[in-house]
Amino acid sequence: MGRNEIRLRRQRMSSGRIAQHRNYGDIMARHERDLKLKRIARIFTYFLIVVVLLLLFLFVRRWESQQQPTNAKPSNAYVNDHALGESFCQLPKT
Amino acid sequence: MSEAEILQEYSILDRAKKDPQAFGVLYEKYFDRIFNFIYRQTDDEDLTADLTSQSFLIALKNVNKYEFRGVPFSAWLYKIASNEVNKHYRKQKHSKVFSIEEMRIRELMEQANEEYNEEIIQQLMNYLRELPTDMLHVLELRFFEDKDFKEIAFILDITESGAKMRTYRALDRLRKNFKLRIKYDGKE
Repeated sequence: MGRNEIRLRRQRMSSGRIAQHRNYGDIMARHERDLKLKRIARIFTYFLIVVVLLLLFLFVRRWESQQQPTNAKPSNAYVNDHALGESFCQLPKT
Repeated sequence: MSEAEILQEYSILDRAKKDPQAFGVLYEKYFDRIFNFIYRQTDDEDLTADLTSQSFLIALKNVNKYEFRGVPFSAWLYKIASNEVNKHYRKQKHSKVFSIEEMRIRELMEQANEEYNEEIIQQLMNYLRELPTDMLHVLELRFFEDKDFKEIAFILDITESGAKMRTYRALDRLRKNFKLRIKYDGKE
């Protein structure tokens, strides 16, 4: 059961000694620093989102432009009738 | 704590949401109490100073989220401090330290009209060593910080009846071992 260490303090800590550790200026400075870091992190996140969206847009544009020539191919394509005719001609006669 | 004091603190908190400098009044008011509360659970002055600063910093950061729940603002600070101490022990994996003031023990003994001597103190220390941590927390808040059960329940995140039950059980064991007449509300 004994999980805790119990110590007996003969003296109470004086308020003067506690006051040595009191420093609201430091708390404020840390708070300001945290706020600044949070702001920077937020701006960086927004920047990343914009970059990702931009890359996505460029990727889609590129993909679209690559798709266009392959779609147009059937209109430019032609059937080699001559070769087709030859192959028909070479069929064994029954 | 009177209604007027609670309202006054609430207005300071309202101001602190826009101007963090306003929080300084509450920092000055509660620093010693939070420091002592943490020091009792660490027995290390530098560590206590760090954890106290950290607790107030967290309170300042989250002041926008603070909402009145029927307990004074100080209970919220105690809750943050308690969480910070627990976090520290979880990281360090040490057994928890409770450093209690002899002066306060003497006061409690006198209130209970019990004689005070070294032998009794040693017995009490041995008894406290055997108590589970959650009971020690309740006893600390009840008898060293003078918190009522509603506040204790809020600080330790338990129900009010749970806080009463833990105190009652701890004191019941104490009565059996020492024949003390301390009642669970701290009065004889």
